[in-house]
Amino acid sequence: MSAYAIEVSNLRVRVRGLDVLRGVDLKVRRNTILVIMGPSGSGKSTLLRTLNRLTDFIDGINVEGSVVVLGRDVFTIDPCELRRKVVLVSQEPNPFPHMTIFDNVALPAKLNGIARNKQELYEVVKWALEKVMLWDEVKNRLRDYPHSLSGGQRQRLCLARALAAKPEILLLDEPTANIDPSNTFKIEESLRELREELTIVMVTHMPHQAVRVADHVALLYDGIIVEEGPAKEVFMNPKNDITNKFLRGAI
Amino acid sequence: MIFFSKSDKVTFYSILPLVVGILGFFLTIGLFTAYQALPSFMQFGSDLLITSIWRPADDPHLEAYGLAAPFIGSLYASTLATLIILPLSVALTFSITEILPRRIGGFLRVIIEIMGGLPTVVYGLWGAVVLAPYLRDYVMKPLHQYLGFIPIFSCRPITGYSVLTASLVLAVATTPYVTALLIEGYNMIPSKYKEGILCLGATKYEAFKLLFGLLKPYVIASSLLGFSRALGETTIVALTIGNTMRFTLCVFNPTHTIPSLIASQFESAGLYMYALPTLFAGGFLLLIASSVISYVGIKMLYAWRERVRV
Repeated sequence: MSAYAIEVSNLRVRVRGLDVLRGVDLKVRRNTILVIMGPSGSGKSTLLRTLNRLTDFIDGINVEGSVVVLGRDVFTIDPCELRRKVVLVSQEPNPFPHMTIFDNVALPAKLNGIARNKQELYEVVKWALEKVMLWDEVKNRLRDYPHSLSGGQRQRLCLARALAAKPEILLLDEPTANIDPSNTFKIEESLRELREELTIVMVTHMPHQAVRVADHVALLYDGIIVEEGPAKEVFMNPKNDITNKFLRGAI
Repeated sequence: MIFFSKSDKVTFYSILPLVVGILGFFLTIGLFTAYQALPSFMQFGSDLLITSIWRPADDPHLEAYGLAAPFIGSLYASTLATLIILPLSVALTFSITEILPRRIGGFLRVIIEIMGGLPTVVYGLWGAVVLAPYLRDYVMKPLHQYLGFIPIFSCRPITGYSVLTASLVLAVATTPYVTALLIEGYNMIPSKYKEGILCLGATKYEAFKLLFGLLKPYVIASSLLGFSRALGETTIVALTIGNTMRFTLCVFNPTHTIPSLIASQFESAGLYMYALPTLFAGGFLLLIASSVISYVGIKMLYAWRERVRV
């Protein structure tokens, strides 16, 4: 088994004639948190979505290069199977409004056949909600609908929903962009604990968040990774001028 | 209290006549129909609603009318049509939005929209000339032969003009309308929910099923609107239902609906004292039923729109 959960080489993505990624090389070690930083429009979300082939739903997209996830080429395996192992949490909280809190979290466990009976399903839901520190807040209202939750709680619910799929890789697209500091703290705390169980790739444009959670960081700029390495090393001693400017907020 | 700016006031007072006009028009139609129907209601009372008879006579004392069969026939044929429309429309929506390649799906959608705009007399003629004899020979007779113990298949099919034929043609004519509503509703679902379910590794079918759950009130509302449309459909039913003043549960029997009764009797109704008021009474019943169903459908649509805004 490879030490890397994700191996990307020479990845080029073109959307309707526009180069979004221009030859990305990236390796992510198992059970680590990689934070991909970069200014808006640098291709961070596209890179993340290529890892579980959500890019399949973009019209006029052309993807070249190699993306190997968990030892398998993502372009040759069933995309649904891939997305059950490599789950993405979006920037905007999107719990299903017509399903209860419990059913939202239970859904992926049912889809993936993780729970065999009601008791097992309950255990999975409880485990996932505990992992995101939401269990104590919702344990008495699991039959409520998500609109009764705050924005931050909804995002943690989405994180719990993703965890209930028991993925091996978790992709996070600016998961704390729209939520308050208290919920941001709880999500970051959860991510640090989850590192023991899975590999996490997170996209953010906030360097200080990367400082708090990342093992490794990569800076994506104009479709190319200009610098990557252990978080401390990159933050303390950036080698690239663009990284330097980004960390100083100059770009 | 509502505060208007000066320009808003001008806009408000400009559109006020239109709003009042629409309300007035709706009330006028309702009141006019009720007023015209009044002699029949006064003369026949509850018999109008519980008996099935159409007996015009030169002597008004000998006239007898009862609208139970056409009224129930209207509801029955529309219900059957809706039961056919719903699965057809859902299957078409799934195919067009998720399964078919975009170009083919788009082409099919255009065809469906064209079908929705075809004159209903075209469907009616096709139903009367092609479908009715075909159904009688290849569907009704075998069903009666093998499943005749079930009350809805218990009568012997004779002409093919029947509730079943009318319902099928109604379904064919109304499916494009309901499908267009469902596709519009499905496309209105915020993309974040679609991404949410696909991110979890759902197949297209699983994603559609879940997202359609989100649309449930919209689907019901669209069905009710389709039902309402089928309820008021005249030409198709007049040509295919057999126009007989009786009602049985068996779908191979001919019957009447209110619109088919009006279409077939209007010409001679003016010759008799109570025939025309009775046709107006039928129209009034249909207006009430259709308004109630449309109102329920629209309320459900609004409720759904509130819900998906979460």
